Amino acid sequence: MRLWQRRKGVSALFDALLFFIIVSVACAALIFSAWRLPVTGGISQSDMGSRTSDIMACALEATVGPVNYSAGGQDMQFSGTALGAIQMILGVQSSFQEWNTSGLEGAVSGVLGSLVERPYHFVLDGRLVGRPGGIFISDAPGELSGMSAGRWSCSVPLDVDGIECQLSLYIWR
Amino acid sequence: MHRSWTKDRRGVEGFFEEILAFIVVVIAVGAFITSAYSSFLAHERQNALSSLSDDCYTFSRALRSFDPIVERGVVFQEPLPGRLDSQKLDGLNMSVLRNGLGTPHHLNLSFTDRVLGTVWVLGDKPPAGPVQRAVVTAPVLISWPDGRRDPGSIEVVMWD
Repeated sequence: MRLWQRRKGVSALFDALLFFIIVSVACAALIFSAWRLPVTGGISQSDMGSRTSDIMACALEATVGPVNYSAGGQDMQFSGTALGAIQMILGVQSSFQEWNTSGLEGAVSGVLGSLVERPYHFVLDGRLVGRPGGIFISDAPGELSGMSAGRWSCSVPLDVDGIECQLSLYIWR
Repeated sequence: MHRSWTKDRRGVEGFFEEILAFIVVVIAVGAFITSAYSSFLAHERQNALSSLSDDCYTFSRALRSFDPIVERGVVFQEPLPGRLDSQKLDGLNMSVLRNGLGTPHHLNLSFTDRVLGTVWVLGDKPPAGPVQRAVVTAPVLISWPDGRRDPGSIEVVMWD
C-alpha cells in the first residue's frame, strides 16, 4: 500500500492535535513575551547623556574636606569643592617629586559614588597636557572592559596652574 | 456480524472523528486569539508606561530647576538649577509643587542628602503590588546654611 493511501496515524484528529501543539507553542511564546514586559519604567538610554552632564556638574561643585594630603614631604589639609580637590591633585602631582593624594582622590570618589547609582559605574579621567601626573578614579577598575559596550561621557576643560587639562567622566552599566 | 472493537474503524475516519478534530481546532484557535489579545493589551500597557516614563523624566528635569526650591546666585540672585536649598525644602509642600509643575499623575517625591542621610518625602504613598509606575532619579546638590553643598538625589515615582 502506498504511503498516501495508508490512513493509520494520518487521520484528521492527528492533524488537529499537531495543529493544537503548534498553536500552544505560539501561545506560550506570546504569553512569555508579554510577561517579560516591565511594569516599572525609568530613565531611557537616550536621556543618559544629559544625566551624565548633570552628574559632572553636581560632582564638581560638591563640598569635600577637610582631607589630608602630602606634597614635597609636608602634610597639608584641603577643604573646598571637588573641582578644587581635582585641581589640587593634578597640581601637586605635576609640581612635586613626593606626594600622597589618596585622601583627595578618595573624597572625589566618594562624591561620584554618591551621585552615580547602581547599576551604573563611573570613571573620572584627567591628564595634564605635556606634564606628568593625572587622575584616574573608578568605582569598578576591574570592569573597564564593559565601557566599550555602551557608555556616556562628559568632558570639561580645566586649567591647572596655567596648564591645560581635559577632565572626562565616563558612565556605563 | 460481530467485529471486535480493535477492528472497528467506524468513528475513526468518519463523522465523529471530524467532530473531535473540529473541537480541537476550535480550542486551539480560541487559545491563540485569547493569548494574542492579552499580548496586545500588554504591549498597549507598555506604551502607556513609556509615556508615563517620559512624563516622569520631564517632571524630574523641571523639578531640578523649580524656582521655589533652588539655590540662588550670590550676585545676581539667578536660580541655580540642580542646587536645592535645604531651608526651602523644609517649607516645600505638594500644593506649591502642583501649582508650579502641574501634572495629572500621582506623585511621590524623595529628596535625599547622600552625605548626611537627610530625606525629604512629599506626595502620595506609592501603591503596593504590581501597579505600573515610572521611577526616575536625578542628581542634585543640597545646599546648607553653613555653605556646604552635599551630593544628593531626587527620586520621582509617578503612577496613574
